Amino acid sequence: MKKIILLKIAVPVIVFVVLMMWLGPLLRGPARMPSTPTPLSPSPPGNYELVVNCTIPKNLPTKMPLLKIIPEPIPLEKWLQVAREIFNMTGKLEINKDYDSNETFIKEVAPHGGFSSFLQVGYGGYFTWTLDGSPLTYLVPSFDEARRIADGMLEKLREHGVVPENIQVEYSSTKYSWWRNGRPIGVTVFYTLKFRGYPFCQKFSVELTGEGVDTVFGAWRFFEVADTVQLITVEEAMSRLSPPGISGGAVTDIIINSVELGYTHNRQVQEYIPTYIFKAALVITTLTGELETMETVLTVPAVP
Amino acid sequence: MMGMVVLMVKDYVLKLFSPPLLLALIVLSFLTVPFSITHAQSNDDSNDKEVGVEWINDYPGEWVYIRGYGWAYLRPLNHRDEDAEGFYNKLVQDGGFYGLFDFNNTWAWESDFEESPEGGWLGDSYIADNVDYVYFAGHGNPDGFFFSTEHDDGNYNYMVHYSEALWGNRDLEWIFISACEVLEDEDYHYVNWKSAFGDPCCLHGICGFASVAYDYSELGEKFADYLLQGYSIGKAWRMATIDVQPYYVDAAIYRAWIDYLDTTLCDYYNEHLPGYGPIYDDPYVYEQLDPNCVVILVYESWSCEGGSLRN
Repeated sequence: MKKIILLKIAVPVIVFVVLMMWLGPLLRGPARMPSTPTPLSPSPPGNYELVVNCTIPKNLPTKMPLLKIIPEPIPLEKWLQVAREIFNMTGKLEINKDYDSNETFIKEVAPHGGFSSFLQVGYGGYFTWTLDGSPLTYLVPSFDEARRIADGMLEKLREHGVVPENIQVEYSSTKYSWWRNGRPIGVTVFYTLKFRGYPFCQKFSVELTGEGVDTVFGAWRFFEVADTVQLITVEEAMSRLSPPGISGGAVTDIIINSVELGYTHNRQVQEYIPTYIFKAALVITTLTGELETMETVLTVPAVP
Repeated sequence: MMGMVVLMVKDYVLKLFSPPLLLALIVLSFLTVPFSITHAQSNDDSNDKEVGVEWINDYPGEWVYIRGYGWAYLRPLNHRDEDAEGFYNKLVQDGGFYGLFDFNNTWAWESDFEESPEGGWLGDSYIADNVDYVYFAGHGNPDGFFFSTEHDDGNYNYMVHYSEALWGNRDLEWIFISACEVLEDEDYHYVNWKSAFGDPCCLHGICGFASVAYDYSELGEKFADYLLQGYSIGKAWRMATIDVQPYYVDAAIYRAWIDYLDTTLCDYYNEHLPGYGPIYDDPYVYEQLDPNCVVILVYESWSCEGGSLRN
């Protein structure tokens, strides 16, 4: 019995003590050095202030329809045709379904000396096509040339029936979107998506590099119009605004520069839901106490 | 081996003490600790599929004084766990990677990422530089990334300052930093991280953000998902950040590039995870093989506008 007690209790205790004596300094280190200075700004950033810097529209609707997303509006065969005929994926294709994310990946395996291209199709018919591995140069296309190519891409997608017919796709802007060592290597053409004049938060965009089209985001989803729902007021929506978490400080002020009604995608219920869209500037107190301003878009569901 | 022991100790303390494990541990420790580890060149182990993550939600919510730097207000965050563990779980469960550590909050230590922390703390050779891919999710700024506790008795307690980082001289290939502004491009601030690549250059690259980033949960898993679909590391980071982060956020990658007589021999942007596409040797290896090879570091940033999830 004594031996058992010795083995089960005493030995582990002795081993633990020896281990801690030996590894303790490595794990724990010496005591902390005292911090003598005091903070420059003793009041930490906490509550934020909401500043309305625009006129609140008075004639916003009080009811709008929900838009129910159609799970798989386009069969795989059609996407394979799109892959071949629009995105020139004429080599060997691998198809992989990710059931967690409801996405299908169509990959053309390294057809041109090591470059792969991917067509990723998601719930409701949104898609991304991108080329991976092409050498990028500083010879980016002009904004006019980029717009012309992007318009052509949109037209081809329409012809193949992968653009929802009940949305409007309107040119929005062309911007440099990708930089190497401070010089542009990519330019993106953006299009706003709307339903009956109400914008979606998601967009259609075409990114181009010196090698041509690099990425296409068709962030639309096919939908059918569902029930009409009562909307909360814009004032109530503003009361529900909350600052986003920032991994480098805290939001001190939210300055609302414009507000409009639109739609945003809710993945939990797979619907487009009416949403107040606030264009805003965030005043951020950085970790070290400086103030920075950042433009952003904040959304609040307009349904109760 | 030493690093493995340290990982075991740290992980072990998080759980219940178990005498048999203690005994095994002490025997292992005595066998391995006395051997020193050299840093003269890369010391990649044979397993190229090791991953580790550290994340912090529970920042103290108060001003902390950082020696040699000043005050910083470390506000708690909400979704750093889902971000980092989404990456970790995806690679381990779906990608067959070996998950070596998932340290969080008070168990995520700055010394785990530092070459030579002062005061007897073990450095990165045993943690971050002991795996191939490491992902950090927490607070950051152009000078470094931040922790909720202090484990360095010299300057820059509570943070990994860029001057304290030297990665890849043991095992690390890539570090992914899901935190604000660590790769800020204003005034070429990102160049400060050049020394982290080592001389000779061992690290393959750093992925991060050039601007403020939002505390959203999906980035790590989305990034891992793209990697396992066969996207290159650069492209996967690019696509994931565009998908997850909203308007006006800029993401970035700072990585090695091998120039051979003014042509690109390899751009580490195009490197893949092992088993999912081409992988490259450590950058210095090319310079050793052929004096015409030159390692340069290339920085790219992009706007996150236009993705499919949040934008």
